[in-house]
Amino acid sequence: MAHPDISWIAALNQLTAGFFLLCSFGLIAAAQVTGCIRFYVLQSLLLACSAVLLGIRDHSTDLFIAAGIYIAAKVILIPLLLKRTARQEMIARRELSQVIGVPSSLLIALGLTLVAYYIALPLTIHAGGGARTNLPIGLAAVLIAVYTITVRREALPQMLSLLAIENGAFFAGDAIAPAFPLIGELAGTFDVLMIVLVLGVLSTQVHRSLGNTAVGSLSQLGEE
Amino acid sequence: MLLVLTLLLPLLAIGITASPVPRTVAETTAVILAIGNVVIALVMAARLTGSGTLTTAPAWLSINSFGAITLLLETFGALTALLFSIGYLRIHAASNGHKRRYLIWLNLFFLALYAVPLLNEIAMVWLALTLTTLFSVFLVSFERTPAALEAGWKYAVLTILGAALALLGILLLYWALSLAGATDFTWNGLAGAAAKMPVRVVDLAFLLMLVGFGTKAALIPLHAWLPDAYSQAPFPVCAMLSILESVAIPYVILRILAGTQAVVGNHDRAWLLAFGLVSAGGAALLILQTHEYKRLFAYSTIENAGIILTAGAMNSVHVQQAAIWQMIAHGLTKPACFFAAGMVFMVMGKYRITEVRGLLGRSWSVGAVFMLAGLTLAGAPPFSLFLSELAILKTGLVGRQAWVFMLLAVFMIISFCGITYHLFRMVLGQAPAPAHEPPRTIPGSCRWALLLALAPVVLIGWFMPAALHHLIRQSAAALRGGAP
Repeated sequence: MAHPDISWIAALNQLTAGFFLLCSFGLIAAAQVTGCIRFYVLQSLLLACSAVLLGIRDHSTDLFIAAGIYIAAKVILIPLLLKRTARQEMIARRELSQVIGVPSSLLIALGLTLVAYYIALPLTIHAGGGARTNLPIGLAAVLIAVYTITVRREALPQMLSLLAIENGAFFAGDAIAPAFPLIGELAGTFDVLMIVLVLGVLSTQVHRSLGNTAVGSLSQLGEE
Repeated sequence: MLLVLTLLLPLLAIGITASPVPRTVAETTAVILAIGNVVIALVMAARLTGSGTLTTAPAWLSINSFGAITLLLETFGALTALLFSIGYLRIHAASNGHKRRYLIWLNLFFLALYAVPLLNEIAMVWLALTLTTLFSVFLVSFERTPAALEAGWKYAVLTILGAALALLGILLLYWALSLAGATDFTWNGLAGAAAKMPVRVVDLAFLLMLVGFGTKAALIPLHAWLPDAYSQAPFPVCAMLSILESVAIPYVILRILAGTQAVVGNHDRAWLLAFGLVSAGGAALLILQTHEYKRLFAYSTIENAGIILTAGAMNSVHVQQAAIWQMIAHGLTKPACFFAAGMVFMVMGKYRITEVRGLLGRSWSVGAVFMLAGLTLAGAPPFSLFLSELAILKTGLVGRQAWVFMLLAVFMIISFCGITYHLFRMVLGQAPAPAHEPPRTIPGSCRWALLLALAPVVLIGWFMPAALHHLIRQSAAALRGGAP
């Protein structure tokens, strides 16, 4: 793997990883549904960029194909599907409410990033340069997305955070397991599309029956 | 060929239900195809008592003896759930289209469920498990009331969250495999390369998969979605969710454990043990304080999944045999319990335990059958769950970790007392003044489903087929060696 041009690829990949993590923060802070969708699409695009960069470094055609799949499914198809299944007034909604305020949430997300580094760095002794960047960032993106689901109250931001977990997992996965068979990538993508379809329809049903999608305030059930 | 056929039959049922044939024709064909699935699973189980695994030509599909037991329980549960659904829909579905959609989603759910023990590539097993969630979301929210939609949403978000965490675990497992030099990411590849995998990566991978799949199995403390989903889902869907949680998911977790146990110095057994014990104990306490009989059975599913995983985590072939035995006994008993509960609801029209009194006085047959199903579940002799719980305690208490099984014995006694206490309060006692409306008659297909589901529970308590015993021993051996 001793290529002369490897350093600028690694540097570019680190830059991509930084923006990737910023998108996770963006998903927490965005105040509108359209903002959430934009951050998700941007994050998916950066995921594809990282796959291409790692593909150039490792001469892996699998990663190029994976990047193509990401762009087709996550950058193009998912926003389209969202617009079809969810109602317009759900997407156009402004001023999302959160259980915990944005500044505190950003601080917590910062803490989660540190945790991710603490967990992932001992593992990277097994790995090459790409994984040293991608594994902690991917893990951080996963943890932040899990946190985002718990603080978001509306249906669509919760769903986009679910999809962002998948992004984080694959961001780490592309670097550590480039031999991950394409069938696995396809499985992940199929899963993401099914999530958008099923949850999109379900949130529309919730919207129809309740008049809004503040699923966080649903508390009719529960053991007394 | 048999393996492919197992997946084709539910697809055929979906096609026929979606096509414009009369509804009764669609229902009858679906039942016939479900019977076909049970027969195929039986044939595969019979063949596997001779050889180790069945595999298709490109190794996409493959099944070993443990998988055959899993598939048998799934197909049998599916057949009875389908039969019960037909009667249930006659009472509860709003329109014809609503009924058809239910049948289509139910068969899609079956398809994903059958694929779990059949698939060979580990990532595909993950996909199949995830699809079981996505296909069952609309079954959980079938009633379309605000409460049902809330339950469906919680169920979907939490279990998809679990699946995404498990995906990261799978990716890390693949990394560990490729570091060990493996190129084959199937169950066999895992067994072959396990000894050379780096222990820290495997530990993190297993923990993520355990938390991820544990969320789907509603292991405590990851069970937040379960009480709501079970209280809203139709009874046959509850039965199938129970099969998913106490059969299909323990199958996957135990097979992964079988692969990673060869890694020196890993903590996988200890983590599984901790999760299993907390689930068994926590669920036993939840059983005591619940107010709805549907949730009572739901908590009992968690308790049994906990017992199966605890016993499965033991480093002893006899205890693991007993764990598989427990999986069979519970997988056969639980659908019958939900069907009996469904009949109670049809007769009384109430979900809360305190609102159901004097069931025997209201309807003698429903009261008796509910009593029978509840007692088998509680673990009363001489039924199969009593025998399997006894086998777990008998084999476990002589081992090195006897304290685990003393705790399990306490949990089993608590849940026995809890279930029988609620049961007797519901079945006996003074019947309330007769309601204004006469009790609804119970559809024939529901009665047949319950009888069919109860038959093996009672029979296996008395008579254990030698072939099944052989299959259990083979499965436990596969879990030990990693190889088929």
